[in-house]
Amino acid sequence: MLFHRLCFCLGLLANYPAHADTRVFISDAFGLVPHEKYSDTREGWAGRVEILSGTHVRPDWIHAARAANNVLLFVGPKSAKAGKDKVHSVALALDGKGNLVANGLTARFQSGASAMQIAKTSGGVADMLFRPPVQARMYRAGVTIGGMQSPKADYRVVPDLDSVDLALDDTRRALHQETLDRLDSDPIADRYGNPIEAGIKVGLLLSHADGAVSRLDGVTTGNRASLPVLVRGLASDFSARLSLGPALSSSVRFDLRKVTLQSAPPVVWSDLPEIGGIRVRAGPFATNAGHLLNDGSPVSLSLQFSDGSTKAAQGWIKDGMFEAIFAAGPDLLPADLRVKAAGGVARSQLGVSDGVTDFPKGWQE
Amino acid sequence: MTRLAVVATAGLSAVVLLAAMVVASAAFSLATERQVTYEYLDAAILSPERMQPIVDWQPATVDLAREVTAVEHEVVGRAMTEAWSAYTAAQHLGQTAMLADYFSRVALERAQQAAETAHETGTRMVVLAISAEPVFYHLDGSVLQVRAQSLTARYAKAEDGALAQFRLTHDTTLTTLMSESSGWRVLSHERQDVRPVAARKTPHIDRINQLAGINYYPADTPWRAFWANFDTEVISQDFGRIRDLGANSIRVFLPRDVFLDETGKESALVNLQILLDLAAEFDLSVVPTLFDLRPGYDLTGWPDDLRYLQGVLPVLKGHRAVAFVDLKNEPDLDFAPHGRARVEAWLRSMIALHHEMAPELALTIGWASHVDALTLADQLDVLSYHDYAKIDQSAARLKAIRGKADGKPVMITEIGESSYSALAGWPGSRSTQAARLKARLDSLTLSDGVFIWTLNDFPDPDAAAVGSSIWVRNLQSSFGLFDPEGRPKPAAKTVAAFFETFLKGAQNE
Repeated sequence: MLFHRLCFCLGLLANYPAHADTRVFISDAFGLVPHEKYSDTREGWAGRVEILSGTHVRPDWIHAARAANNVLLFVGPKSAKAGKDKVHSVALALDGKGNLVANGLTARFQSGASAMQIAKTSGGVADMLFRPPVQARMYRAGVTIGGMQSPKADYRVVPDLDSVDLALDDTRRALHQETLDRLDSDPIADRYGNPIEAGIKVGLLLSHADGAVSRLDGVTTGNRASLPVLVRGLASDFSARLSLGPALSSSVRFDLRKVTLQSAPPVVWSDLPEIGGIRVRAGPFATNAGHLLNDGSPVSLSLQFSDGSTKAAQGWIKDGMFEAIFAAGPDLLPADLRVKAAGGVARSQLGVSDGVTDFPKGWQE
Repeated sequence: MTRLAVVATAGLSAVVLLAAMVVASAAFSLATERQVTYEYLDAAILSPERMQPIVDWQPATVDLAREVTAVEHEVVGRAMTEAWSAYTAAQHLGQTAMLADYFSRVALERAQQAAETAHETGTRMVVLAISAEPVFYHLDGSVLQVRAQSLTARYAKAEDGALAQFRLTHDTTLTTLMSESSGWRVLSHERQDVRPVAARKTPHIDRINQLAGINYYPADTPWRAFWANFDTEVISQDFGRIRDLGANSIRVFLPRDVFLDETGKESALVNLQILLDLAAEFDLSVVPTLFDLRPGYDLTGWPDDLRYLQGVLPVLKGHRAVAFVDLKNEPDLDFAPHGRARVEAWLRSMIALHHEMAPELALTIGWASHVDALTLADQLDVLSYHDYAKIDQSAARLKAIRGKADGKPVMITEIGESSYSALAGWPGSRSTQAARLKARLDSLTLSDGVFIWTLNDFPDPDAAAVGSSIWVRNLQSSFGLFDPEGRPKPAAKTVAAFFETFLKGAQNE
């Protein structure tokens, strides 16, 4: 190499009158270097080189790249939609000195999903654009140029969210008031049957009877969406649709089932002589769904005493029970009793004895 | 005894004083050295906000997998600009670690090795402008390949400081960049072809007449204040005086910073056009002097110098009033402080660019001394120098230059005398100014042009141009043919008489 270079420089000088003080310089892509400092390493840098001596120039010297020695592969985008858009597989081929290889070398691309494809290098680069496979999973691509293999490069095919079939599970169309319930989707998959991945944002649009629309947000888990709905906050029947990306499910109507009490709750009272009052305790409130009326459900209880005075208390169910203290002595009993809860009302009389009071007419809606 | 004690005390005091001076001197040297070092680094590396992109994007002529957006053009263009600016600084400083911010992999190895070699061997490479076309872009925006025409200057310094080699070329390059976590970096850079900037073959001296001229600034707004306070009324009045002196030309100065300033250059270019138009109205030809007050020759500023030429030359080359262009005022004074090789490489670069952009416009360099009047003469159309040396040798100096001018016009673009009198007519006076000017003018009758420094006295000369020495400021304030009140000094009459004879002689020839 060095010998070759020296011969070349001497050849240059031989073509022109000799100057004792004229130095020879080599000009390349990164500057100018005196020929005596032109290293073997630098001589390996491909490209156009000029050899300069005084005003004389030899511009016709090209260091050509050698055979491919290192092939880099860049595949992207890293998440491609199944069967849609394009994946770009790009090979950058360098020779042993780090130069981009010559044009026209054959590159054999493997996408990991289809048959090998062939392209030619240009500017050290060969590339292949291909449609991603329809099955969503990780794929491993590779390329070979001049017998040199690239390290494998991974890319991922994900479900095509533009084509998901979105539907709400409509097997259960009634929601019970005073509950925290969930609305589920059917299993979600794209047009190729690729199940949706976890963590994809979904929206639930609720259209109410009064024309208002509310939106709940959540993410997919497993291959479906499941969103919690606080039914207590709903006033009436509603319809719901799921949204995921550009996809929108058809609308499903849901009935709001009001909770009713299975029977009027027993009521007992006890004297509180220390404060001159009585404690009235009603419950348990059992619903027609077979469970206790949930905590926080509103209750009102009123008494009209024998002297014509009335007292009332409002509160919430706790552990299926309701309790109130009235500033009235037992001497004012009996009293007409009225209990209102879960949209129903029951009437009876609170007797003089402190036993259990029943409601003879039961619970009235 | 008393006398001995006094002597001893005085001696001790002197020693203490001397020691204190030595310590102070050492401290001052250290402080100065630190300051010089910091200024050196600051001058070598341009901050991003001071850096103007050098990449001019051309539309892609091949199908790309992904379109390069305007924002990507800007981002990649800035990355390439910063990469080559850093490379320029690395050659200068011999520090290459910073190149890792702009180059990666193979390109980083090569840039670091080449910059170290350049620093060691005194060679330099500067990329002045890049006309780039994207030829490959990865669909995911991670790999971009650019084919470019890079205007590149390379030069080498000889051991004696002279310019050993110079080459200004249009390099065809292929640059591959990768979008990495910290931004775009050059992954590979190769030169595929090279074409020298075209040399102009024939000089353009046909239109150049014998010139009797005046160096011009308004009295109240000389140097940097001129373009910022451009006043056509004042200029017209002064041009009338110049015409009345019998002059047929003026020499004016176009400061580099004024015509590069992003906010002010447009109005400066408009004012330049107005000035040329006014000169034409007064039948005055104009010698515009470029790059005035350029601070140093730092390599990272060369791309800005190209932008400066791209701004002013289109105005100058189309105007009938322009006689020829003076590329730089007194660059020979910069050989010592900035190194002859760098200054000469810069001059050669700007000459070549001027010839390429305005081949029809004749060019000179206004050397401060006749000693360098023939430097780069083969590339200039007019040879010019300033003659402030001994008057009795003026004619001999001119004769020597003319003898080697190869038929090109030789002009003395500055002669002048100060009328400043510090004490009883010393060092000068209005009468001695007139007498000395007459003597010098009479010895330059064989020149092709003479320009007087200057039309007006300057009550407040610009410190950036003349320095802060009170003595020099006083001298520089009194070179005018007219005093601060606009009254002609005796020298005005002398000059008018000479111009009449000088130009009449030219007509008779």
